[in-house]
Amino acid sequence: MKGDVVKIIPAELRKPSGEIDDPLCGGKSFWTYTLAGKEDETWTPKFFYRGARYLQVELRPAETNGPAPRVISMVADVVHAAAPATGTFQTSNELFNRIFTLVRWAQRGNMMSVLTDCPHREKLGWLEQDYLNGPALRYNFDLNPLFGKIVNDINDAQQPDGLVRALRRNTRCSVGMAICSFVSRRSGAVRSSRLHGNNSCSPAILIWRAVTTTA
Amino acid sequence: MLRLEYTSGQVEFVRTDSQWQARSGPLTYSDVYGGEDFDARLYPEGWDQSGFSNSSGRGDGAAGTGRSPDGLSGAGWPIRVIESFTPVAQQEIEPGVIVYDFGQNAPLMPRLKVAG
Repeated sequence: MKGDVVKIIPAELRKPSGEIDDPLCGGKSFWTYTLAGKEDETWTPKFFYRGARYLQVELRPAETNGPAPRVISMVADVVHAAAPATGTFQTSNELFNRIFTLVRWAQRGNMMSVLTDCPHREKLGWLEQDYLNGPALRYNFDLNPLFGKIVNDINDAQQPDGLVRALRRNTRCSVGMAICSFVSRRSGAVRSSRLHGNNSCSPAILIWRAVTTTA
Repeated sequence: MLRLEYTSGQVEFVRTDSQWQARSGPLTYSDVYGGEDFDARLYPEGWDQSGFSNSSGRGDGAAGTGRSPDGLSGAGWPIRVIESFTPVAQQEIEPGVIVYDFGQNAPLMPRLKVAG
């Protein structure tokens, strides 16, 4: 009835008792849907996704001791960047095949508007993911548009003196330069992205070089 | 703001201005870590049809800044539903609490059909 609430808590694990186990986030990330009171209602969120295998659904009636709402169906939509798959891997060794499947899911679980470090507690686009995992990712997926966008993010965040924000200048700053380098090499484009006009890699790299050579 | 790119190469921006109307919607909470709440009781039926009366809303939309945005940080691949899982198992662990097992860790959004 109107005002019934469905709370949906995601988790990667469950306890022997059957309830979900969410040690990374403590069950503190969840969706709620409050019913309008129609015969049946269908809903999916617009923004929030999470890495999970289990969904724990708690059905709360609008009135104390009233009838609880009833789930007609529960489906889990897998969401990530719509990059076409371009590579696969198969051998006669089942262990290697399973490792590939495992890695593929890790890649899909973090392929969003940035390459995240994990799909639950941080969801952060550390540049090392682009750098260290970028080549492997690009064997499996067409990521030219996404890496063009990531390079644009790096350029947007770069300070006038060349520093790439939130990274230590003389260690991780070079990551931005390395990303630009392999994006150009893999895509065959001099500019990192056709979309970004004058925001190509080259000025950012030149400024960064100037900073590191004068520091 | 929308950026429209035509095949002719022309680029046009559609911005909100004082002619737009606004009101709060049913999406009452959204956070990249916290989750998302939707209160279907607040859905303004017919808001996407001509003739909709925004009687409980505000008459002024947020005015745009009038300048073009810097950068194009939204220009990667769109995020889409790539495939869908149905539960491989489900268990009512106590009255009113059901745990669904989808058999694979993955970046998920629930798609719920419910009756009150």
